Amino acid sequence: MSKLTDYLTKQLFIEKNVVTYRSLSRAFSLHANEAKNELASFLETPRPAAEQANATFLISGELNVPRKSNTQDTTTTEGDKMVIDMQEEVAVGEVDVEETGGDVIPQTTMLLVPQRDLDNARAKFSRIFAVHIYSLSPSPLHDAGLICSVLPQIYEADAKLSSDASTLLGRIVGPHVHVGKVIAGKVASSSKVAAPSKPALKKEASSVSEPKPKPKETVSESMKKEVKEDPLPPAAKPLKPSGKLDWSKAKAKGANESKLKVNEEKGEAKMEAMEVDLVEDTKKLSVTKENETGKTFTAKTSKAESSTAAQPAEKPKRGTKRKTALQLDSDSEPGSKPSPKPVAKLPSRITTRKSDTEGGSDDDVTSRQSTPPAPVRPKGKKAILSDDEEDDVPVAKSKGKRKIAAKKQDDVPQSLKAMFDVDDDEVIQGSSRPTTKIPAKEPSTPPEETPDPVIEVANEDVEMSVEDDTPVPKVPPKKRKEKKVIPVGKNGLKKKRVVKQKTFMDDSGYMVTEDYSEYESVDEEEPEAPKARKGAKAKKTADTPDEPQAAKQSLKAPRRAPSKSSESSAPKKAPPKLTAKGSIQNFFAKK
Amino acid sequence: MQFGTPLPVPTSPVTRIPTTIVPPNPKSPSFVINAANKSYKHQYANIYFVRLRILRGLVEERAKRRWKEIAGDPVFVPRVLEVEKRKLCFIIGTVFMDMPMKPNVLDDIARDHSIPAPAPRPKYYSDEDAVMLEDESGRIRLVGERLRTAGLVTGVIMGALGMETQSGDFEVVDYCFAGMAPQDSVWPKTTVTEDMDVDVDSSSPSRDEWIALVSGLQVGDPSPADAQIELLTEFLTGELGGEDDQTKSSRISRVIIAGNSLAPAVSVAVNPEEVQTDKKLRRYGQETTTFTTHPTENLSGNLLDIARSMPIHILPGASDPAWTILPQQPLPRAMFGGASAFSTFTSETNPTYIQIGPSSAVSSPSSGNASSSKTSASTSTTPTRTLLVNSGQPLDDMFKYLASPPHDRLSLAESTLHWRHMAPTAPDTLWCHPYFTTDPFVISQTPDLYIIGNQPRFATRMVTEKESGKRCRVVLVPGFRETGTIALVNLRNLEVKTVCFKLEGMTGEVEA
Repeated sequence: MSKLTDYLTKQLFIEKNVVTYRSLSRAFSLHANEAKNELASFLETPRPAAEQANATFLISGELNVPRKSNTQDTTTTEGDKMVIDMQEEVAVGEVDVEETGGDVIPQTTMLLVPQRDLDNARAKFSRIFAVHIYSLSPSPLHDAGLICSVLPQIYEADAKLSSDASTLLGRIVGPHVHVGKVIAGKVASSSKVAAPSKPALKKEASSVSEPKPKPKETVSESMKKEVKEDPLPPAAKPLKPSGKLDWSKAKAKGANESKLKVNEEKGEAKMEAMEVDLVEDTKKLSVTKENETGKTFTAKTSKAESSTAAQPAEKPKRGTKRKTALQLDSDSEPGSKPSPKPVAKLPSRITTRKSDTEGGSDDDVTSRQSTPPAPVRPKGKKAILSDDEEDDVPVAKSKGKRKIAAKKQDDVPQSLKAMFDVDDDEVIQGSSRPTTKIPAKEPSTPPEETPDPVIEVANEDVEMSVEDDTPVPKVPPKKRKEKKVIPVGKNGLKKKRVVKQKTFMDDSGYMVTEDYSEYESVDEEEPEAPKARKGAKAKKTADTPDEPQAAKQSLKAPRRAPSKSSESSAPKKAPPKLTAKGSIQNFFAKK
Repeated sequence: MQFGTPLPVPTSPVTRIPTTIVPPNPKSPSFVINAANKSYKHQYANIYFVRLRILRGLVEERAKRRWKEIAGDPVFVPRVLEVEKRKLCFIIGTVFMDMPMKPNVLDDIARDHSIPAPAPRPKYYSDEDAVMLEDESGRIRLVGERLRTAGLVTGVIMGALGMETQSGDFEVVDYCFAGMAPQDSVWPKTTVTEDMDVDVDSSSPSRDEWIALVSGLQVGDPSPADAQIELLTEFLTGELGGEDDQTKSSRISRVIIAGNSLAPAVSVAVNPEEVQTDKKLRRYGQETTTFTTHPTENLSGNLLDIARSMPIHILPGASDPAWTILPQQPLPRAMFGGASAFSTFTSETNPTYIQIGPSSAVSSPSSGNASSSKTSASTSTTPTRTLLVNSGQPLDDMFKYLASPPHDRLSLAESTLHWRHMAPTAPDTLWCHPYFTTDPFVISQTPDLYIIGNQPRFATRMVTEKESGKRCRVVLVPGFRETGTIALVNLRNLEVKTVCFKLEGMTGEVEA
């Protein structure tokens, strides 16, 4: 008790703080009501004049009905009906709600009042539930906002309390309050918006990649985790998370889809059953299973054979990630066909998907086959530019695929260059794929051989996506690689391409500002990172306004013409798409 | 002193009555804009088209039933332009209000941009307004005394009975809307009378679940209501007041914050209406004596405090840092600091449907709140309730179409239920997402509780449709900063109470 008095004295008269019942209750672990009583008894104890605390009270109750005594029948406890719109202010031009039949409802008022006005305030209440001390302060509180000054202490104390302990302080906790991650159910719908596919993808990919020596374990871990995390949602969560649900939602759902889903579920169940140990195998199995389903399914819907063939072919090659996307394609095929105009007209994504499935499978194959890897790059560049800038134009054919790839890339503009570099290496690796692809297509499970490519592919993806994850640190390597290409000047220093701007008067007397790029020798001593940064920035600024122009240029000018900003923008944007595309093309070329 | 007997301290901790969120009715649309419908390429005309297609059949059916007895045997003319002169008929179409005062995008383009635009008008209403009815074929001008009181706004699907006049206008004798949408809830035949009688109160067991409705906290406003918000927080956590208050608080199962939790970052041109209602002294100069100047921190502090006690549903509103077009998407959880750690803290879209059921009614284990079913001690007869909540923008906008003496917000809100559309003005004067294949603002299911936030004053009414017995409690939740008022709704009988947090003898502002 005395300790409490000491505390109050110190807080009030030495530190000149406001003490509310809440802060007192936190400071001494008292129930809120007890704290209120303590404050009251502190106030009641006579104190020297210099140490007279000022109290603020809280009155809860029902106010007298300010006007219209007719409601004063006050038959019983419920007498204090309050006409709803009897709030003091009546906005101009608005009629009383009362007239139009708004309900009359009881109103409880919680009034915070300083000690000196307490009696006045009490008189206004027709019924009082409770009066208690809210706070003590060294001087009368003129500003009610000061009661918030103790909040930091309260929050701090509350943060340390368990919810059980806080109930002892008077907090009423519902048993339905849960800490923790948002779980499925309703909330999932909102979280779905934010992060549909990427995190899962990345997570998977990175966990696969991390230690090459023992990929099985990590894969299995991630699998397990995912399985644990959402055991319920049946369709395609763990392994094929890339926006599957969204996509299927976008479609007018057909019976076909559900059929497919069932199949997938089966595949999933299988996966779970097989459990982690031979994850690759399991994966393989499910993949093939899906292939099967996809095949039969498409056959059923009398889809062009070519696409059916192409789909499974691509699936194993591209590893877990791509598989999802492709599956989606097969999903959407039947839906998009019979669906009426509006659906077809929906966002370009759908149209592209359609085009992808229709033309993409054979057209892409052929086009990719015919294109040798090297010249692909500029082409890719062109395509990408058009993709980014002219979103509306429904670029047929390959666009769908690019879109899918773009989904991933959207996040990672920074590290694209690095990915570009990676690609070159991967191209060689990719040569082993064709063999694996064919067995995968066959219904019976290919045992030992297949896992490798899957892993390999996974690794490829991984390398890319690892860089996705850590864009900033990857800047230096990007720089280095670029330098290899750049000539060394006569003075022995490396050269660097720099975009500059010059302004001059042209023939007709107009001021013309032109961007141009030139090589500049670079001092090797100079720290690399800042330079890279600067370069990137310059590029960014350079290519944003020029993009359409650049696109045009790259369309017109044959491939490598290193003109202006198109050049500078190219390495930044193009590579990622190229990685995806290039590898596919390589793959088909080998075939 | 006279503050009487010490407050009793409960011997065992009081627990709150739980409720659970039931997965939304598949028939009620989701307002989430996801990858599937996130496209801004479409023309808004589609919304009107879809809306007319959805509602025309319903209006027609109702109109036929309503007017079949009428002498003159009115026929239904499917296209508004095909009405015949001097022949009683009825037509169905979308109402278009041709209002000279209404903002017009063409004016906007034609405007001289070197001159600052005039402030937006508080009302579009004027005497020269014309009502048109439009469908795919064209528009026809509606005239008639009957329309005066109809309280129409653009975008409503309406059936009009009448005949064409010499001048080519359509003289309206009667009109008809789609009527209230179907409702799942079954209401007992012996319904409670609307004034909450004493016996209603006493018959309701103390375990009825209540929910608290708050809107317009406006944290960070120049004249803040910090103290009231703190009182509110303490009331909700169950620490404020005496035993009665704490018991009352323990029945509040969850709180819905219907928008405008944060004050606008820049002071926008204030609605004159608001200025009138805002009697509080403006604070001069931004004084920062309260604990921090960071509004989101203040807000999340309070929210965390509440979140420890009960589930929170928070909607974005006009002044929140969310996009302006409807449906507003959920505020990012990360904004709310500690509160976001609670799975029971839910960030909702702006119009949103919420289904709340008693805790024992947990049927789906995936709902995440399943564990609360353990505490089925408080099982009650409370049925599952469907709530339709918005932050007030649709109503605010519709209200500009109408002259306020004959019309008021509550009846306008009621009308939206009869129109079966919660935001008919949406593509016209209320910004909304260019939906292509749907119009999610069509009310396909009449909610049990229709909550509209950020209104100038509290008002509520039970809306019933006699022919079908559908009932819906409309609650206009006032802005908390201006009124300090929250509403409590009993989920069992939809009884409403308000709690007002006030200050006396002191200011809400920090004195310089």
